[in-house]
Amino acid sequence: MWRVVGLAGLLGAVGFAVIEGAGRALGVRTAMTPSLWLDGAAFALAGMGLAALYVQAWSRGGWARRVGAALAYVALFPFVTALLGGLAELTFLGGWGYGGFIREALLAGPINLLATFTLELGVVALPLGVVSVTLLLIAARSPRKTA
Amino acid sequence: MIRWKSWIASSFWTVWRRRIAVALFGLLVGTSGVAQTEVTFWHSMDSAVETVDALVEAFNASQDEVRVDARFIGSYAEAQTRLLAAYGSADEPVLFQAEIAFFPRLVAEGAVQPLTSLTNGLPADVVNDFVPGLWAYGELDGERYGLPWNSSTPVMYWNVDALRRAGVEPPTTWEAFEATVDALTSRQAQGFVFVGDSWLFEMMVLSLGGRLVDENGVPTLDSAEALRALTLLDELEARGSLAFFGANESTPAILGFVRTRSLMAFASIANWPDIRRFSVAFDVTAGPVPMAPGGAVPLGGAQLVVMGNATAEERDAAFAFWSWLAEPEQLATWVEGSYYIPVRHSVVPLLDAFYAEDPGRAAALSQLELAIPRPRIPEFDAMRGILDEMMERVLRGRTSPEDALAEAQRQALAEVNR
Repeated sequence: MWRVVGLAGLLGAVGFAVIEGAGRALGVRTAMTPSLWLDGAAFALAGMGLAALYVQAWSRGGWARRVGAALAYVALFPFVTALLGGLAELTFLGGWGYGGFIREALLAGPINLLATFTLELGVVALPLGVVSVTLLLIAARSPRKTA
Repeated sequence: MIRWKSWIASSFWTVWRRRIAVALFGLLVGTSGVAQTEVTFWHSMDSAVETVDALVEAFNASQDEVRVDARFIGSYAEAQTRLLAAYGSADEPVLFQAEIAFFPRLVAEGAVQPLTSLTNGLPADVVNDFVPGLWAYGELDGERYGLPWNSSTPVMYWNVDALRRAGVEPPTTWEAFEATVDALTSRQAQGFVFVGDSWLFEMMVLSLGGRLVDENGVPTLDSAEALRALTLLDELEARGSLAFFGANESTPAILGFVRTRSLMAFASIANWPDIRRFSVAFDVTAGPVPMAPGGAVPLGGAQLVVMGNATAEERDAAFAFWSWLAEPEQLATWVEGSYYIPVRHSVVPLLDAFYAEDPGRAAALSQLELAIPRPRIPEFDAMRGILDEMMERVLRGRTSPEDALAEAQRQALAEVNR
């Protein structure tokens, strides 16, 4: 399990780097917070959290359960990532005192990231998501090597 | 006498008496139907179409002599194209909402009817109640062709939460504006979104103290103020602080603002309902645009005009409709639905609660004393396109502000001298 969760964190961080790079190259603002580190951490943690949720289905489920869990992972990733990004911004950059900041972080954030993943950078994000979840599926099905 | 009595009593007369009565009733109904004059009204009030429809419905229900058929036919530019296609044909509307830069062209081409004889019949207290600059707009060469209804000025919108977070105040000068836009720009958002519409560029030039056309009707697109305005936009764009959209890309520009990817914008006060359509996750308000000493803002909006093909009855019916629309109660309803400026003084007290709810709604009204008409030469309609294209060339990085303005001035002079 931890092997898959760790891989999901790594893939989340790599995904962040790819999205950030593509956004800069195409002039699309993709950031959730003012900090690169907070954004990267949100991507990695979202991947790890969702992988922990679905690793059982990937490793032991039938093919329908595995495919359903893979699709759920891809669909939920932007929302969980944006939610974590919003929470991080509100916590570390002092936004909990204003209703407007909270609405913006928890409503506009997920909408923005979903738009980035589908409309603005869909050609990058969707293949990336498919490759990532495929790698996670393979990793979850592979038997662990023992010494 | 006896014969008459017997004839009246005969079954023949009984039958014909009924037929004549039915025929007379039909004639009466038919005549009353003919007396109702139909007024087709083409308008561009997309963001206030429900308010227009409600007003028209109320007017039609209030009397039975005139029936108005209001049709939304697209943006001002689309309406202009459709009107030119229908010009002189049976499809031409009776009443048309002409954007104020298009209005002088319609007058110059003799496409609209003079209405002086009708407005001369208005009571003096009604005429004096109109805001003078807005009332005078419909007059050209001593004749009245346009009727005021929807007027606006450009205002500055901002994301209240973003300015609070950055610790900056809404700017009132262009120097402060530039600093504020840069302060707001981050990884997450650009400080400013600009739609390259000639009206907004005109606002920047006027607010810096310049003009696009001088008092003799000669274009001055290459003035120092125009260069300063375009250079400011160009530098903001080069620093990544400005999100630029073309003149026909206002919807993606609004979406960027709603999504918090851009935090300040210039637009008409009448665009506020467009923003409200979306579920905005932040507080938004408006205020006056930045202003240099001696600066001004251009009036916006449209004039209601009666097209040349309309009969005298249709013209009078259209005027009756406008007279009803221009009553204070109807104007108050109109302003609350559209956010346009009240064109009559007596409407303002009726809007106290509306403006008190959010003082930003009165931003355009507060600029009214600085508002001046757009250039009222027929060629300005073509100059708008020249300006739109000029901004595209500069802000898409294809040419320098100096070269673009020089080329625009050359093209504008060619239009005027054609």
